[in-house]
Amino acid sequence: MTVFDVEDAASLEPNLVGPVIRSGALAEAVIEAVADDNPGADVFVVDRDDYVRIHTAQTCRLTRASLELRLGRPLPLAALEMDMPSFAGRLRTRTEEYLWFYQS
Amino acid sequence: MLLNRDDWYDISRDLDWTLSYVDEEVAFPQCWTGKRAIPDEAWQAWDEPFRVSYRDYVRVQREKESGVKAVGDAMLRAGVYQKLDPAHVAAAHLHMGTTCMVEYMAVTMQSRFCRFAPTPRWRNLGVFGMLDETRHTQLDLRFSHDLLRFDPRFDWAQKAFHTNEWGVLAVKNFFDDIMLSSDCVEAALATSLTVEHGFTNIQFVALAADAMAAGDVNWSNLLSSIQTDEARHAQQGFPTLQVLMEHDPQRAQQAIDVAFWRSTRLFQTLTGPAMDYYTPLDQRKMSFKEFMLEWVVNHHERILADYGLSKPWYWDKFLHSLENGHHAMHLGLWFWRPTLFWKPNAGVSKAEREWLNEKYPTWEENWGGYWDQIIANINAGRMDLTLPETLPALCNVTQLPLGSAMSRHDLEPAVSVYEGRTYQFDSDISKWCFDLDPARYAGHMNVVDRFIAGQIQPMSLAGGLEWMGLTPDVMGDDAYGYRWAAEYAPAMAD
Repeated sequence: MTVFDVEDAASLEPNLVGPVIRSGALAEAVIEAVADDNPGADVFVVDRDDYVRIHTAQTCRLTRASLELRLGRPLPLAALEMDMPSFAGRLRTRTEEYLWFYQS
Repeated sequence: MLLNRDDWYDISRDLDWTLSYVDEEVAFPQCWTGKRAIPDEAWQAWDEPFRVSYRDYVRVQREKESGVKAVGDAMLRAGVYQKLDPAHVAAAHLHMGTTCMVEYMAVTMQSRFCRFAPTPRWRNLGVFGMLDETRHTQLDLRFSHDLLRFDPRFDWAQKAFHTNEWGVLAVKNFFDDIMLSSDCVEAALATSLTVEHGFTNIQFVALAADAMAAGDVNWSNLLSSIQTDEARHAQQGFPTLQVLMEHDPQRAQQAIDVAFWRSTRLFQTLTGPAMDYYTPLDQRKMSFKEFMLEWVVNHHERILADYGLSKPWYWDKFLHSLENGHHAMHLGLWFWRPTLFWKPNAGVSKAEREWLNEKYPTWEENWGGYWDQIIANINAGRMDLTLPETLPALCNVTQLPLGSAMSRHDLEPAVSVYEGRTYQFDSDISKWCFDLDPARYAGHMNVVDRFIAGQIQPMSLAGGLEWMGLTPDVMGDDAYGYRWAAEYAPAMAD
């Protein structure tokens, strides 16, 4: 697994999925948590200063446990919405896990 | 032990009545549900991607509100607004005047979902959407009210939709159609899915990034906070699309293709000029085209393909329009600046022009000549030649000027005749929209139709401005008072 900082989002392959988070500590924690929750997958990070795309290919998993570990405090996944103005791909939300994905 | 939300969610969202005192069609008329021939059982597959409980909703929204208010108060105390670049400020005026009441219209649309959506799951989510849109309206009004003492243009957050300003009428025409007049299914496809998932990211995330770079922390924060709601309730469109793809895919494709084109034209008018001309050059993150490629082409179209939709038939023309349409609209907005309630920046200083040519290789060939003539007229002191004396012919679907959708060479007339009346369009795509459902658009008279019919008196530009409600304190003029043209003066003299 590698975290890539990417300048040009248009050049990325089109199957990337995952959240778009407002810049800040939460975005940093989500990058680390996504890396934890998607072992073996490359994590693509597009930093636009005000917002950060955090994507992996085809499926992107984020668990409450990983997020809280990286953030260092409790945070229900429902609260992710406070700083998530967008996301790429389909989404499945459960209390302990969010999953972004494409079917095809 | 407190139950986990996942343990009770499926039961709570299926709460419904078995009707016995009233017919189903009376309680849930087809004209509002939009179910048509889709069987009732099909809606049991409607499964929202973004689950919400009222308890979570209230807790999260309270935190959002606290954050927006705290930032807004701090920025007001610091006098940030007064220090902003005047060109950037125009983008906020434009946004508040054309968007605030659209948020309020969306309250009505979401209320319709609450009451008439074909499944209780969707009706449940509509409640949250309705509360979201109420919040957005109130946020815009509070933001504008706080800044009203610095600029009367913020009054247009509330006033604009009670005037006949032509740009506002174009916005209103679109959202009257897809929010107020559409059944639940079409509103979900056109508004939730196309506008909220596809296009508002351009205004509320991408432009918010530009605004943050321009130092407008308050507005940027407000925009992206609003979009956190949109990202959630826009998801109402996808399970609706899923049902349609099973039972009526052609209807889904058509509704989305029409909404996609009309959204493109609208955001070329509202967001394109704000990004490529009003945002100060050294603070631009990317061009409008680049943001559109990121958010609409890659981000939005990819998920539509995942549901089995094809790209619109006019895809190549859309890409051609992406190179040109907002430049044409900007030229028109600036030229007809007395008809605006904001002060547009021309955005064609030498350095800005170099940036435009780098981002849009055909810019100079298409638009440079027009601006050269405007610059020559300014530097010759002939301001009269830089101002309009007439009104432009308008499209009977988009309400935007003919000739403003593509390059300057794409001026072939697009015309339909319906029940004896001739209708004109800004492109063959808009004509296609009209021809699909002419009765939907046919009764409407655009601003120029009304002018020609004698409904606007006196029949002059001054009469038109009065009819639009434009007063001298808000009437548009060049954001920098034409100072940018001076650097061209020696070259022109040579």
